[in-house]
Amino acid sequence: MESNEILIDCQSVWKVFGDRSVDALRSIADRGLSKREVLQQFNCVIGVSDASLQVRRGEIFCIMGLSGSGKSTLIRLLNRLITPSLGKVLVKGRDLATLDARALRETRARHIGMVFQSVALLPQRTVLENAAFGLEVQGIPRDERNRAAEAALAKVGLSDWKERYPRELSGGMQQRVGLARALTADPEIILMDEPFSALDPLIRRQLQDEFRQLTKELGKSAVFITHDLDEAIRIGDRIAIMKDGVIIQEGTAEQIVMNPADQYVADFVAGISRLHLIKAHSVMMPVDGWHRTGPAQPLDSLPRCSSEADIDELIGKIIGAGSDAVAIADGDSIVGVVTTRRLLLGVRGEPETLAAA
Amino acid sequence: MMQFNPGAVLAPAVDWLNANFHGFFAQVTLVIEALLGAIEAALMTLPPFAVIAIVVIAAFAAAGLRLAILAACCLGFCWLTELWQASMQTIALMLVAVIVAVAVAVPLGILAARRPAIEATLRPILDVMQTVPPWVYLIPAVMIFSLGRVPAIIATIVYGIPPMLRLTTLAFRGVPHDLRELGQAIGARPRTILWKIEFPAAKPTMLVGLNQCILLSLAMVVLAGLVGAGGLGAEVTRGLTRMEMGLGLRAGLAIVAVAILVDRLSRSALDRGRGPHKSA
Amino acid sequence: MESFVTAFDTTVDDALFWLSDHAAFVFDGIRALLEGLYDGILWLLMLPPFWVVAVISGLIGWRVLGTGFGVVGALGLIACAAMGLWPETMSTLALVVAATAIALAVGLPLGVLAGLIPRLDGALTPALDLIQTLPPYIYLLPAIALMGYGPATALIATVIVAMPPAIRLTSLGIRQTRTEFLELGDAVGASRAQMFFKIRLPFAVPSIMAGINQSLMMAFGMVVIAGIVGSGGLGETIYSAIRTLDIATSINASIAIVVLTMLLDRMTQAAARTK
Repeated sequence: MESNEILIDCQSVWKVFGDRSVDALRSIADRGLSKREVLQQFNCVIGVSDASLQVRRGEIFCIMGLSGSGKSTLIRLLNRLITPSLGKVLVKGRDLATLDARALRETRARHIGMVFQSVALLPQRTVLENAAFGLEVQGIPRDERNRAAEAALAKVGLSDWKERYPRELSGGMQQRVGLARALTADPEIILMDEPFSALDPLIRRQLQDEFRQLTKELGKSAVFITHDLDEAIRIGDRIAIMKDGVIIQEGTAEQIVMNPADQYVADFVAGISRLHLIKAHSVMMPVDGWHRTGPAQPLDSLPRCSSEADIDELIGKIIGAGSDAVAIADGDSIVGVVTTRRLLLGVRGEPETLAAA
Repeated sequence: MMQFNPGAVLAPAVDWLNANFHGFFAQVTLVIEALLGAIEAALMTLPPFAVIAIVVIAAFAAAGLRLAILAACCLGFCWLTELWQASMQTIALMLVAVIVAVAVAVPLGILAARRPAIEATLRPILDVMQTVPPWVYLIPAVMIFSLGRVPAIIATIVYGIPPMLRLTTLAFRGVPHDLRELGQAIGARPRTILWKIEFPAAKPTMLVGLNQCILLSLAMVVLAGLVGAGGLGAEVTRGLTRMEMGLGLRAGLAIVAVAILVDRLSRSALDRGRGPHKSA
Repeated sequence: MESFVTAFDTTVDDALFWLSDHAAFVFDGIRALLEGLYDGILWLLMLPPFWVVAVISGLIGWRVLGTGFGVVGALGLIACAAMGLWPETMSTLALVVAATAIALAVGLPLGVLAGLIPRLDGALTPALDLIQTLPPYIYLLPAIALMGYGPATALIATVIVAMPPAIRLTSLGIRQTRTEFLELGDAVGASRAQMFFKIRLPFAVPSIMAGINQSLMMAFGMVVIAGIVGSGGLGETIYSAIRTLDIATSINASIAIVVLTMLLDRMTQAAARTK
């Protein structure tokens, strides 16, 4: 289960690419330039602009954005494959910038795993050797590392293929090996760079579910980047949306869908189905509000649901019980009521109208 | 021990060739000497200044200041080291060889691009031709035409054909299918399709082939200096046999200068051939 | 201009004289070393009767390229013997092997360094360009001046000619490892040594093998040219045959050369592919 221990703490991190990045940064601090202006005036590209985020133990954090949004850069700042221009990245409380080369390598080997979009399996080695590669680099003797690799391959369901070569496997299977490789070293954090983008839709679904289940089962934290909002919602506990290097909104899927920060986000979430995202506590009205609408049924006769029930469940209750409203209960006390009217507004996901109704 | 002497078997054949086809070979010799003579005359009657000036101006017009300066330096070096005549001889040899090689290779290459059967037959031959060391071509040429410039040119032509041929075939094969279909769909004649559609599309790759052909021909012509072909190659040989290190080194550097100039000139034609796409 | 040329020539001559005066023992040493290597390899090659060598190469050809090639290769070598050119063929082979071995021993490590250090690569490139543009037989000049006529001279000139392809292609192979694999190495915490041996090197192998093949072919071409300087072998045979217009011998020697070329080239290319 999720705890409150912060594993990754990203504090106001900037990355500017280009020869004149130092000058560009100074101008940004003084004058607050946009990405375009920086490009025109300094021939520099803003990769990531003032990004702050925190990833807790056991949580899956998704970063979603289109190409050029800076998500690939941001994830690489987390294991220092790219060095930040400004700001700090702390992993398990230690600032990555203060680590010497050996300590950094050790952090990458033991505490942070990475799965790549292109998988990057070494073609000259077998599946087993590829999965064990992380431990091989750490100098772990062969028998021990092969055992760990076999266990990891078993978890992703590829035990039968361990003596084969990457070219004999399909795309989805290769990516599972990539995941096994990241798991073999048993890191607390796994960084995933659009791992399923190159696969076809059906396999993608399957792997998304498998991945989420496996990660939760093993108690790992993950930072997962994708350009697919559906994928982010399926997999992530919390989501950050990036555009042009800036994190424009961060929150649970429900929060983002209910309260998009701007039109950009609103356009994105327009196509997302609300049925499983929105919970009763977001659409219920206070009890006296319900009394004011008229004498209708008494509270106790209404069917009950918890405040964590989603819209789908509420619809089921209303149709099943043949009632026009559902009482929302927190333990024994009733904290609110959901009417059919409010339910319909919830399906549409219109928070303003809900507030007024 | 067995006695296997293909040479003894073939030698009479060569003699027979020499005897019976003497007329033909003599004709070929005449034509080549005439062509060479004409180009050499053109290059050498003009005083060095004039030639350098012409090349520099042409280079400037074609590709800008850098190339013009390069031309001036390279040719100037040849003149400064008192190897002007030898350089001009080498360049003349190379030019003639390249012109003939291209004239043979391009039609053959186009043919091979259109008829896979021909390409399949040619491929092993071209493979062998490109593996065998260059001076092997000199041997039969010398056998028939004796020592001198003529075997040098013939060997150079033969040596320069494979790269030009291969790249022409590649170029023409690489013309996008829809461009050809366009030509047919608008009812163009085959000749028009060839000149207006295929050649322009094939030009970049063919220019690479030309660049290769030129460089290889230069190397071969220099090598042929060993067998009396004159030019810079002969100067190196002279330095070698007379132990005149300075001469040998000068001639070697002059060869480098000519090679660089010729390479950059043909490459600039390549870049211009790619013109419209270059700035992207 | 006169004075420039004479000054140039005199400087070059003086430099060479100075070298041969002051560093005679160095060059004598090099010469002894090279001749020793050559003699050793030649002795090895001439030890078994010709048909043994032919059979061995036939077997290698069969393993690497299939029955057809094995048979043709063996027959080709037998033909060389039958033409009475066996000692010359083995001599040429010994020269090529010795020169290539030295060229690779120096060139491969240098290529690796150049692949890892871009500055070195940048510094080497014009030098390699120069070596590859100068006509190969020019390297015989200083060699003769410093070591006289003979196999050592041929060897040193051949080593110079054979090094650039090995250096270039090795450097290229090491430099051009795909980014995703370099990233993988970093992400997994590999040290610099591990990055080199486990990631860069395996991917560089095809390029390195191509470099070895080209090195061999360049060495071969040069060895035959070096026949001019009395290094023995098929090169010397051909050169004298041409000078005396002895058609028969020149044809025979050419056939022998073509046989050797095909053998060496196809076998090293095939070895490159199977890796």
